[in-house]
Amino acid sequence: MWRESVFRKFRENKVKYNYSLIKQMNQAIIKYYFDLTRYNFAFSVFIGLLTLRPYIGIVTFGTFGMLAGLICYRYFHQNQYYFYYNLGIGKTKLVSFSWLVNIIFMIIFLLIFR
Amino acid sequence: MSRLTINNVTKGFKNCPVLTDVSFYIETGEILGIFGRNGSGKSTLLKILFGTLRPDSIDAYLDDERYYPNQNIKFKNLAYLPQENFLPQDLKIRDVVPLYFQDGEIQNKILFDPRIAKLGNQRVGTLSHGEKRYIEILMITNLPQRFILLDEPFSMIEPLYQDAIKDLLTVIKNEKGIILTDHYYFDVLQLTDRNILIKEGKSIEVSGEKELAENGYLPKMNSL
Repeated sequence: MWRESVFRKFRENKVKYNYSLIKQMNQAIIKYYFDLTRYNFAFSVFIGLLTLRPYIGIVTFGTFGMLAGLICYRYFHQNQYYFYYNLGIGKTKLVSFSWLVNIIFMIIFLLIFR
Repeated sequence: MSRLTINNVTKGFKNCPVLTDVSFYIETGEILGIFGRNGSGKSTLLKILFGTLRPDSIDAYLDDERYYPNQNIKFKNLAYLPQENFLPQDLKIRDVVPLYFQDGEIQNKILFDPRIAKLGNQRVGTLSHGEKRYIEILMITNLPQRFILLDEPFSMIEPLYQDAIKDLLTVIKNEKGIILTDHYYFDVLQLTDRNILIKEGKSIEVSGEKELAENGYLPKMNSL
């Protein structure tokens, strides 16, 4: 009996630990996403206004806007990548998460405003 | 006890060799000092070990297993304090710490540190360089990684904070291995158990100021 209870506690703690680790990483990735998206959003709005076609702005948000965001982030916050690296989050994970979210937003907005 | 062994690191930029043969080892429970003149490749070496810069060649082992620096970020073996501040400047200290540590005990340890407690509500961007550096070192040293790479932790820091950092590293040393590089050689030598000098791309074991002077890192007149 006592063994079962010890193993159960261990399992529960492990799950709790893994959950908190995932939660912590997610919070950090979301912080990166918002920092990056600020530049992307500004760039996409600018392109949308410049062309006077909102859907071009929306498409930019999921495509070239990301590149503009990455360039701006690299220019203004280059060293902040180490904040994420020390947490075990690489650049590929940060960028792919942000790109995926923006593509989902792009599709949703295109469906709404088509 | 863990041991990180590095053999034959080489790295060059555009046909200009920076590191030609750097080898050393470090164990948990000790501090290794790395000296070298400007441009000798100290920061390059730390970035290679951390995994953010690709070496031309490296033969490294962590304990008995092969260590691949490009896998380090994923497996969190080494933590790295870069020369420039790396914390998000727009966040308050009390918001940055929970992003790094979910454990309430560690959060309290950092947030209630005598030098940090009064800064909790301030944004990172408004802190002085010394304050930023101190909290960065405090956060890096509380990470679970077994080895810590510190690139110029004493640079531009007032003496009171330097002493606080030295005290902190002396305590942390009991659990982790620390690689330290800085031009404040007097402070570094006070802390380190062993030292190496990078000269002409190669690593040389040195024991103190005298050998640093003999190898051209310090002026001869300063040597003891």
